[in-house]
Amino acid sequence: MQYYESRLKIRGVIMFRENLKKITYWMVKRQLVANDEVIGERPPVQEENLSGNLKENIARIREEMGNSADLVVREFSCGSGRGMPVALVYVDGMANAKILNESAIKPLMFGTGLKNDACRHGKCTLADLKEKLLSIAEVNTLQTLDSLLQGILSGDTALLADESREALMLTSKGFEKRSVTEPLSEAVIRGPREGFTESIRTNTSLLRRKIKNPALTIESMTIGEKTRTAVCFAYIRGVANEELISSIRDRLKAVRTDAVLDSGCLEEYIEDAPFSIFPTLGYTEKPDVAAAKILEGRAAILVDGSPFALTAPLLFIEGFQSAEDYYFRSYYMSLVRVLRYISYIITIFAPALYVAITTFHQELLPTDLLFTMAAAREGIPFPAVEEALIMLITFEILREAGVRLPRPVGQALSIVGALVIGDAAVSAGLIGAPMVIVIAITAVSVFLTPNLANTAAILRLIFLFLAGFMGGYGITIGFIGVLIHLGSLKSFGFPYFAPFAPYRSADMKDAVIRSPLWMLATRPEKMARRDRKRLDFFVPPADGTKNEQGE
Amino acid sequence: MNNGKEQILSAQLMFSVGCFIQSSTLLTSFIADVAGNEAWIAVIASYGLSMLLVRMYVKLAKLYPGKSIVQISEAVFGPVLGKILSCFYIWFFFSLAILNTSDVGFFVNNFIMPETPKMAILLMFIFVCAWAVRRGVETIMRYGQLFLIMGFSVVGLFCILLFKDMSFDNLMPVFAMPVMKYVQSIHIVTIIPFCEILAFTMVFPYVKDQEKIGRSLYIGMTLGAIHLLVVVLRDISVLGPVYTHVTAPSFQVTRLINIGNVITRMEFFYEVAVNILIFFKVSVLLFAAVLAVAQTFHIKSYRSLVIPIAVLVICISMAPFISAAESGFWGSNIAPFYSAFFEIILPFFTLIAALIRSMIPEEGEAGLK
Repeated sequence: MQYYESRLKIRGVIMFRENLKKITYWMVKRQLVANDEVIGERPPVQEENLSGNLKENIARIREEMGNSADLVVREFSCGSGRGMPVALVYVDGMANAKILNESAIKPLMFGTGLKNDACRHGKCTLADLKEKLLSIAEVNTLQTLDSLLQGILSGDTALLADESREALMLTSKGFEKRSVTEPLSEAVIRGPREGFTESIRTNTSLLRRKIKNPALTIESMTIGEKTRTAVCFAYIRGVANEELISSIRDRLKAVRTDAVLDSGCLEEYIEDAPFSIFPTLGYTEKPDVAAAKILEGRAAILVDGSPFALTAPLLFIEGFQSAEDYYFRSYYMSLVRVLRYISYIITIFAPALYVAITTFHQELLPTDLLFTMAAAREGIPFPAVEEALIMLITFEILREAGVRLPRPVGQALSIVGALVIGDAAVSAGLIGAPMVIVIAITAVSVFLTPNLANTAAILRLIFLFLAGFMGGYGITIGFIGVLIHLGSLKSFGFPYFAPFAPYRSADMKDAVIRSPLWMLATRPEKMARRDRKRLDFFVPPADGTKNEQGE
Repeated sequence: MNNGKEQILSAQLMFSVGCFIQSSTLLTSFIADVAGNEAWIAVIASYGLSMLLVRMYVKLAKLYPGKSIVQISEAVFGPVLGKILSCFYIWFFFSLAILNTSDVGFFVNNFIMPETPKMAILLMFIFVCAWAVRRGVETIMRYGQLFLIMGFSVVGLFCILLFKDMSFDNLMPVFAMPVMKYVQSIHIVTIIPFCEILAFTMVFPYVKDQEKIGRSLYIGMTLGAIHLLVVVLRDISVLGPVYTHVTAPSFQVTRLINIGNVITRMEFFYEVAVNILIFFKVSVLLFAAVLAVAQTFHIKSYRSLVIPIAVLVICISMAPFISAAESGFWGSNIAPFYSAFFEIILPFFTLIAALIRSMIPEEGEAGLK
């Protein structure tokens, strides 16, 4: 229970946060404490050391694993003659049997590194085997049963010997994994096409290949009582803020959960504003994006089994940036970025504005347009708010259906969506044609800022209600409310809405527009404390004057 | 909760002061009634005058760095008299919040949503203000710069769009009024937008760089004055003789925007900008009032006071005026004298007492030597 109580001490003050925290606390407590009995209080893990007896150890491992079918124990004697009884223990499918055959069993059985009589008299130790016989890159020595089990469950092989209180852990991971492919969620026209995979080692290597610098630090830990998932976070020493790193480390260490199946599971445990609709942790599927964020002074959190890396801290403007912004030339990308802002505003405000104007502020429309709209709305049985609500919910249903649909059914969906709901609803006189246009533009605009799409869907509904309730005034008040909320949010101690509020002129170079790369001379303010400079003063050679001089 | 931790930069204070004065441009009808087409002279003159008056606040802040006006008056006059003076300040910030809120009510009710009950409008408005104050002074001040830029760009845009409607002959004749009218109009402009920045004396303790408070106030006031001047000049040159008679000149002006029947009906932007600016002003005033209460009665956290005081603001701001015209009369005839007591006389006596106090220990030391 202490854990839940400590979770209550989240920093920051938000108007309803205290109350929400209390409610959640009681809800969680009601689940965990029934009839004054605490459920699921975990007994402390006892460190059990290996015994000196091979048979005993094997029996213990089998017992701990519940005699699982995929546990393989290969007992044989090392060296010729009577030899030394040893056993290889691994999980079938997790370890690469080929490596074991070639580099472990063969040298151990027929190896010539040791004098034959050494093994025969049982005088050699595991350390001798490790030094002279085993041709495997990474071999660790361990003493406890727990770490041994942990090792074989992650694909390594344990080498146990009789009369030894130690075991060797041979690295032999060889399970099936997906190869590096193009990420589906972040397609690019220009730029690297490789994406993270489910294997954490592959992912760290992808990052290493982007940043070949010893300062790139990868810290690792295990999270999840049951799943024991490996979690890494990567940052550049000297660039990333120490406070940021220690706060990420502390928050990850504080996570006490059963399972971490994806980085998304972790996100909710370590984010700053659990009650906010805005995400305060970013995610990416592309190593180049993760590398770029790390180079800006952020940290990337990688979770085994998830092709999505979390990036922290996240700022609001990152929703409007994309990897390609930096691979194409700056003029067009600046235009695209402005378009993203506009489309975000459209996708949030368009239905609300339509409702506000048609219901409250008809005088804002030019007269001709007013007549057209009035004619289109004639005979529509619903008020504008209801009309918008119906269409919005229909759209959300269609979108959600489209995401998880088997491919062949997709066509049917688009027919239903486009023809039945769009066209038929208008011709039947249930929905006005302008409303269909408004919803269509709303729906399309959301795809320009995919990371903020979920937030936009909620905000859109809130603004729609406000508009139906108070018209333009309601929208303004809602807008102010969103601004206050954004202004008070923090992500790992960094103001979420920077560089707008607090205004930071130095960071505006990469906010609304994307300045040419040679003008992005500094990393974002406050993100990197010591090493802020990204490049020396540089202006591209203009007019080919250098060439002329050379001639 | 983290009272001690909150800090604002002097630049943020500067822009917030500018934004605070900007938000009064809705109320230019006060001067329009009195000064007519010579309102711009009043703006320039009172800018100069208020720069002198604001020196008092800066001087007080320098004498007692890291203290708000409430704490200063308690330090100067002692606990009893100081608390009485603090109550005056509390009332002043509170009443300003009420007056500005009721202005919003009139504005929205008269021009945008005539049929909506005023209560609903004020309720939503104060709700966001209270929300902002609960999030702390940091959050409010962060937006100063953003809102200032927004205000300037809206006014700049409208100036460009209205350029063809401007006639600078409307600014003439100059110096044709009786002297008392000048005095009155300068008095109004000095008191109503400029010296209301007394509310920022409650923010002073949070400023990181105490030395730069003066600079921030002066530059912020200059920014606000430029905005006010541009707005007044624009309104006079566009509206001409009508300027004196409309209730909200800046709003009426935006209605005239019409460029080839394409760019027209820009009131919506004006409405949004004004709402946001006044939200900023009322948040600052509400914050000042709430913090003043907390400091006077030595309450640890001001946050628990926000909601009760906000509710009081809603209730009372329903009442003060029956119509916008009455509010205008108050603005041009009564408010200048009412506010002058709090904005000029109280700080003036506090300053004199503080100066005397600061002299006494020195004399004492001299006497010892």
